[in-house]
Amino acid sequence: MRLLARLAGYVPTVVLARRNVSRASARSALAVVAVVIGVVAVGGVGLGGEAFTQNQLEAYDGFGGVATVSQLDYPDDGAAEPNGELSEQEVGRLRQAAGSAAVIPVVRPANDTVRTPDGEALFTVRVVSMSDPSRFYELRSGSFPASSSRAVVVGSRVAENNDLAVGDRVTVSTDSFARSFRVAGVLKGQGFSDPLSADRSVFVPVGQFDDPTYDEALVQVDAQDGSLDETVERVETEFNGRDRSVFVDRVSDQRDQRAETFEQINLFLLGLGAVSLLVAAVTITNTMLMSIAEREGELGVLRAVGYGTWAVLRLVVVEAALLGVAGVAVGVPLTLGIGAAVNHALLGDPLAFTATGLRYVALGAALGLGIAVFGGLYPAWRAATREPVEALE
Amino acid sequence: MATADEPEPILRGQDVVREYRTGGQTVRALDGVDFAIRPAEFVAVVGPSGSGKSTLLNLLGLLDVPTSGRVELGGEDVSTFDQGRRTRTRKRDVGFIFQSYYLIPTLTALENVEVPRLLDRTPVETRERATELLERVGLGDRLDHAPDELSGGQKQRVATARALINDPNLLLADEPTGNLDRDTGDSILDLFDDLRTEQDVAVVTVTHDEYVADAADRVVRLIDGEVRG
Repeated sequence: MRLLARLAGYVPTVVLARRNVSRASARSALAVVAVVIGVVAVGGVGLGGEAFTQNQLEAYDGFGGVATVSQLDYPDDGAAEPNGELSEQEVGRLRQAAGSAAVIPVVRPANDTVRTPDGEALFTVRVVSMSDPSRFYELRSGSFPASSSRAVVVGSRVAENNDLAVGDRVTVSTDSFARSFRVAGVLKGQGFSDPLSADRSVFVPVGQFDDPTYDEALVQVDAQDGSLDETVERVETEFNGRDRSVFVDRVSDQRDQRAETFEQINLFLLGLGAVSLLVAAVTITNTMLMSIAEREGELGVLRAVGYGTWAVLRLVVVEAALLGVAGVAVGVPLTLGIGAAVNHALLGDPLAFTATGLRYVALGAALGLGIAVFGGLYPAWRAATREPVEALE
Repeated sequence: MATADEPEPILRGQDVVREYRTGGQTVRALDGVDFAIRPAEFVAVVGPSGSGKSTLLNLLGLLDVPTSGRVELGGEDVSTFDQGRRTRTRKRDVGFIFQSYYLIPTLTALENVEVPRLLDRTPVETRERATELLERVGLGDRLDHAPDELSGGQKQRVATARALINDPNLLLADEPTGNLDRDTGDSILDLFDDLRTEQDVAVVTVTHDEYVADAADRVVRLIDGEVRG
């Protein structure tokens, strides 16, 4: 006897099961496809969701150690809203409280519109002004203008949606001015999670505003110089004594909230993916029921020649499990392939798999195998408890 | 009762009744049958369709238990056996040759013969024994053929070899020559004779074939669930 055949002799149930599965190959293949779909659904949603989350959270990368500070406004109904304005004096206090941390005041002028030279208004575009946007953003093309120059930097969506390139001109009008600007640079895409919504913004140099009022300020602490928490603490002490006058929001908190939201959406989608695994379980059950009905006589013979109920039960469950194993064997590489494609598209690196993402793939594989066994249980029980006399009739 | 020249029966039945309920009606397939099967005996059970032949064969093979009466194996009432013990006893003592063979189509002739012993995890011994049996039934050159590559007679012989792999004391054959030509049928009957003389195997066969009945030591005629003549 050849070695392989000899080894196979020690796992007779698996050998018998494998032969049986290969008997109705089309039917078995369909059951395997159902498992593959389930495995890919769970693993793919997991990997894709992870890649998407990574992609979106990349926007926060430049904002490490940054908190936003905005003036709290107390309208008549009493609930504080962070939409007041910071005066030059308050920015001064903020600088003092922040110590060595950089304070970057941000202007979001009211009644802002941006137009092309033809006079066409650009929709959903906001005007923003801050010193040194290069602190947070990289350019796709062009360069950052000097703070006094008549040039702007535009976000990636603004450029793409309106065919703007470096050298084009736009007209920016606000409450305090209406001027034509040269486009000096276009930012790299940031995604919609970006704290300043840079993709949809036009950055005007601060020098264009004669008497700016600031809508918020960014406080940035260099990790080597100190901790953001301590700086936030000092700012809170300075401004929020008896009355709360500013709202301080760590960008990392915003990031965490976003991450949590993505995670919930991911879980919801995973739930949907898991439904396809349930369908696979039903398919396996159906396949195995057909299979045992077809070879009722053979199973009766097995019982007659001395196979106990457990032996028959095991045989049918192993057959179902083999369908699951085949489904997982096809599904996992397929899922990783899809994940690599998504990683490449969203993150620029096909191999940017995260541990969490791979855990979803493992989960899909485990569930795929689990549901196959689960789906085989009822047919196996039916086959095993059938009286051999009846089966042989 | 056993006498000096009559050995103790392998299997004995007393006033065996087997009833089935079908469609709200009770059908009495066996109506108070007595029997005793002794080692090396060749018994032919004959009778018209529906006379209870298959029911009797199922009871002899411990696939079924009587509604009333006793079936004894080695002096023990088999109706006291649980399912596991009946299964183990079948495996140890009984060989079945089914009328429609029930070979597993995905297994070769050799593997089909091995089936009753596959779970024993003694692949080398099992393979030797299966090969030997197939050679004995004249299929030494067909070991690796699938059932659909074999003729009816060859399948019958594979089924016979399968029935013998556990060295049974009792061989039950349902129409063993039913689909065979006379020469092949003769070779099967010769094999039964060899098993009886060499290994004291008792053979019980259900048959419509008078030729087989003539070869038997004893003919049990069943009509309407009762033994006649």
